[in-house]
Amino acid sequence: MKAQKKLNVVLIVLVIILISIISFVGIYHLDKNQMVSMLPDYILGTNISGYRKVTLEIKSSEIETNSESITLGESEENTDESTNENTNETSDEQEAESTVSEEDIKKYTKSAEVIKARLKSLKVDDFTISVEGSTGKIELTLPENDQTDTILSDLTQVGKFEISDTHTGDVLMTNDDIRNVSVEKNESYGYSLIQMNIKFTSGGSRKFKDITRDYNENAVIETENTVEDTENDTDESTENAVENETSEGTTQNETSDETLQNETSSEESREGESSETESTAKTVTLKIDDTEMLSTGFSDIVDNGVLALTLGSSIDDEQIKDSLYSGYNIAAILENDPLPIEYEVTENVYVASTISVNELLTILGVIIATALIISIFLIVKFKMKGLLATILSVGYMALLLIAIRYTNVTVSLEGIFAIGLAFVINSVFNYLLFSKLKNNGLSKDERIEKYNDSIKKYSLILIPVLILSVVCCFTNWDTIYSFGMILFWTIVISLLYNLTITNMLVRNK
Amino acid sequence: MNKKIIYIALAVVFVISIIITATIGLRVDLNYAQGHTVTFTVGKEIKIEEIEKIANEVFGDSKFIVQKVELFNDSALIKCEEEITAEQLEALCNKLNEKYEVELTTDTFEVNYVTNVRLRNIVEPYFIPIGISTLLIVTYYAVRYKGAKKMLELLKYLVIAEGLLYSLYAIGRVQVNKLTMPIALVVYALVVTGYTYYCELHKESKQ
Repeated sequence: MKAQKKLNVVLIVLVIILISIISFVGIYHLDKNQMVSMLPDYILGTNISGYRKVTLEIKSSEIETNSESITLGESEENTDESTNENTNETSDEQEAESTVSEEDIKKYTKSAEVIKARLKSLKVDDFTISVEGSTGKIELTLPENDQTDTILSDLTQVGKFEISDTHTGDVLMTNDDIRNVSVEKNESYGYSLIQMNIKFTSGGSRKFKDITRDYNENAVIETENTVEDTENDTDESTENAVENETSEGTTQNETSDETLQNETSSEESREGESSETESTAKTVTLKIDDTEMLSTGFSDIVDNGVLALTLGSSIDDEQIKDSLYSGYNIAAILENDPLPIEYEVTENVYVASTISVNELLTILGVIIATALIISIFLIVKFKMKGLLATILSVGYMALLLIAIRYTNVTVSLEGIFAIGLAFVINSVFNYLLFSKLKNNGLSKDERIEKYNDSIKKYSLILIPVLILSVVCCFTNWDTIYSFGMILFWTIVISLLYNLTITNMLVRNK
Repeated sequence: MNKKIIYIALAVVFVISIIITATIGLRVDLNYAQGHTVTFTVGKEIKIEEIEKIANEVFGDSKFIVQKVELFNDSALIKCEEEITAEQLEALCNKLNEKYEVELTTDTFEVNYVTNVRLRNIVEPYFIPIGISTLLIVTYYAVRYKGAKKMLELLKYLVIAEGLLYSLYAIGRVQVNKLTMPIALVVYALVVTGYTYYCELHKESKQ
């Protein structure tokens, strides 16, 4: 019986060593004459792997129009020196900003706020933004991933939304009428459809209802035909194949990939060349930044305040992904205010992390040193049991690192600190348990009782940290999310590990 | 009596920290501070250590950091605290040409002024998760330990621990860098775990 127990303990220790070897060294197999790890790689966060550095500057055409206001600003500044005090952080900036009017500074700040709001709408939280008061230059750092370029492609769009009368050009609706914009993917007859729903405010909904009534398919306008160039200038964001349908799904205008030429009667009649007065259907034109997206009439009155647009349809997953990302971009632009100034991207580079390998090694060194100090303390205090506690802790860390790799948790700098914290947290249980098992003459039942008591107490101690980890898991900020996720797995793995491995060890001791 | 002295000392330290922050400000790492950058592409594979050595010869005592840019290992960015002069740019160009046997000209170097990142923007994302966590944790404390005493004690220790960390940065003039917020998070978690451990033991001994 005693020999069986000893054998069990040896087996458990061997399992721990095996887990540690798998985690710290890895398991490899031969693939195309190369040794490839069978374990997934760690996913590194932006503050370790690197980030995208983007500089946005005011378009040169905007600077020319602003120059008048800058001159005006100089005279205003002389009369009120105190206005600059709130907006500047450094003396250098104060000097430079004295030549810029307060209105310009407001525009720059507003532009930065709009870009911030757009990035938040796109669920990009892990960014930094700074605006230069004197020139309006915006510096952005974004996480580097497969969406970064798509996000940047439309980020500087002004985002002026308009629904206007095609013939008279009267503006009927603007950004102010939009409440929110959502993009969804629908499956239909084996195709995936990307649909964008523009939901209007209550005032906007009333206006839209009136438009769908006034611009129905039967409404006509008498026009005198003249030859006009109907070629549309489209930018990248509007080059998608667009099939327009109202939320009722009855009116559809099909357009080609390259141009948004609508096959409506109005379009056909405009293309015809005649000097006679002719009746054409009344249509509205939807524009973003003065770029015509589509012209359409309506067959039914829409009273739910939602304009549904189909952005693309395909069976190809890549195309669907592109349309979806493009749709998210347009949605982020439309549901936030338009940019007060037009910006352009002047610098867009990937920058490696500012944390060097040496600094990372130093951080890891500090964590290992802390673990060593805790282990030495346990060994000194509990002798052989302390050594056992240390072996258990090493096995726990190995298991945690495997879990992090398999659960695809992003390891940021905060995450590395959370891994260090994991050792401390698990050591709390070891201390709790082995201080109860300190006496050698305990019977098996007593040991089990003390173990049960320790695990119960440990679970209660973990509740506040569990709260912290769960809350952190709900944030989109890469670094905090990483901290939360690793802390969450720390707790789960620690409980499971101590309920199994440590439990078996206590029972067989 | 001893406790009183400790609290008074802590209050003095915190007030000094706040005064220092309001007047001089915190000492920030060059990554967050304003500065001037020069970006260049050598066209050959470079090593950060080599560029750092060259930058050290060119910029001497002024503070600078070197980072790789793009994924081709042939471009780098040097951020300097002080303005980069034409002479320094010329010297940098010559040294790069000499080291990598290329023929770069200063026209191909991109020099920019970079604004500082507001510390508020760095701390801001932590406010909501930490705020919500604290609220939920103190609620748990109120239920678990029946009453507000332990709850207030926990808040007190959190304020003391984070306040001391802040004072270290303000009075000790330790640079605020990318490690600052992770350290603050770990301190928070350690205080919460440590104090809960203490409370559970205290409860057990009472029983």
